[in-house]
Amino acid sequence: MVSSVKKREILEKIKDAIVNLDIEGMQKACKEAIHVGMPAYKAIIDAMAKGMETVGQKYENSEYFLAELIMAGETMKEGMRLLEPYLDCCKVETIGKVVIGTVRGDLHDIGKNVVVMLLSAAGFDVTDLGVDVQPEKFVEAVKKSNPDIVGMSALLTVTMTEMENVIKALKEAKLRDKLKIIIGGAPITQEYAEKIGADAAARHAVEGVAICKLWIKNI
Amino acid sequence: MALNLDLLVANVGESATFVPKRPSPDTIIDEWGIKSKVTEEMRVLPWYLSGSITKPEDLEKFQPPAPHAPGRMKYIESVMKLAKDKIAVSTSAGCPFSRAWGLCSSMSLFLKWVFTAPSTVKKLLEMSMNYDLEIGKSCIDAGVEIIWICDDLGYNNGLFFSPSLMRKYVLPCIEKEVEAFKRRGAKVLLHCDGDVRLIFDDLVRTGIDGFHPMERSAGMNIRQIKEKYGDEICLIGNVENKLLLPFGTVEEIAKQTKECIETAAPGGGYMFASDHSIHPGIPYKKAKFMFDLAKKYGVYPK
Repeated sequence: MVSSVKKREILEKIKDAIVNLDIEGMQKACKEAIHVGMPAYKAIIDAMAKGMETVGQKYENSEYFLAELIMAGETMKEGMRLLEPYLDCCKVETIGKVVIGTVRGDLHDIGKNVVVMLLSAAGFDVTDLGVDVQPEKFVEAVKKSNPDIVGMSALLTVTMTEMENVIKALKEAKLRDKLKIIIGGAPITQEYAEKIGADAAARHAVEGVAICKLWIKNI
Repeated sequence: MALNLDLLVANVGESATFVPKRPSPDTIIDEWGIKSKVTEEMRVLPWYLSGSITKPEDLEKFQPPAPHAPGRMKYIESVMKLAKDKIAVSTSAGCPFSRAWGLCSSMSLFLKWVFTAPSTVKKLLEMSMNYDLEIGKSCIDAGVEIIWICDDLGYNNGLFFSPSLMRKYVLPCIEKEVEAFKRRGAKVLLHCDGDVRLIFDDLVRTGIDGFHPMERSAGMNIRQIKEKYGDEICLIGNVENKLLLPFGTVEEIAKQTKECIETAAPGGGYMFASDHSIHPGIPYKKAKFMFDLAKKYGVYPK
């Protein structure tokens, strides 16, 4: 019988591996977790998600930068890869659903990918539509997965106008009122979000995820 | 010339013997193995999709293009003839960081390698820098007097990686390029988008003669930069291009144009420009209005 102290130690190692961007440390800690029979969802929710939260705080404090966010994501991905075979026996409850994509005409995705990674770590079920996404595809995805939130990304002034088209398409399909819409990207401002009828604009990925978590909490 | 510009950027071309690959009608692969999308809207600037290096071992067999390949200087040589005494000519000859990550299958991969394969990151940067050094040499020998190093080290919210890692890997490459181009007789201007405030001092210390474009949305403040570095470098840019120039009124554009000139021009050392590209979303009339006003308003007292 493994002591609760030992289990807490392992969870701490998993969390630290993410915070310290330590892929090898993650591999060792996950193998320990598997060895002691720790439920995989516990490692994910109690350790990995907390690790990513700390990484997010370090990013907001300018201790960590984009590269660290990406490396933290890679470290978490490695942990998920090791724990995934053990997830079938446990049901991992998600806190909410998000459909996200980079809008039509825009191929930039690095920011959007970081958001996807942080949302997944936070417990969201994320449908990533990729880049250059037509408004119709957003509507189709919303009909199919019934999300709580739709996220849109655009890096260019010429493509950000597509966000308004997506919102119009959602209104026409009578889906707009059933969800929250968050937008992000270099030219995006809160004023623009208000102008086009989005619910929020995020200055960066970490802020975006914080807004999504607040929305879910208040639902 | 119709926009009343004083400085032209003319870049080296591809090797005369190189035939770009076209995997599909709207994609192209260049000499560096970089795949880009070519659209009607982006016909001047192909849209980067990915590089060809997917793992560190790929670099061992990677052959960079020959910097002095025949035909590479053809465009610059013809521009130098046309531009003589009419407009200053500059060349973008340095981009050590941008090319280094562009050669990888994604920027995310390069940023990950900063932690997991730092020797590969170093090799990519050195290969990129060595190419730039040769290109810069050729351009200066052809009569180009101003060399741009165009290397985006940040974005709206900050640097791509920490100042300490920038100082370790990227800044030495930029410094070597600045030193080499200046030694050969050129002035060196640095184009660097994004919020680079945390390493701005380091960038000035590399010896650059000017900095562009001071993106407003990235927190780059022309007044603060002028106060601290106005005696050391020429400031270039700062009229907002994402929202003001596409959607602003002429009054709002005029106000910011005058403000930039009033802030940065006193004592000399300001070149008027927007804070990023004049992109397809900016109406031509507004761009022309801005440049015409700058020409009229931006006159140093005699």
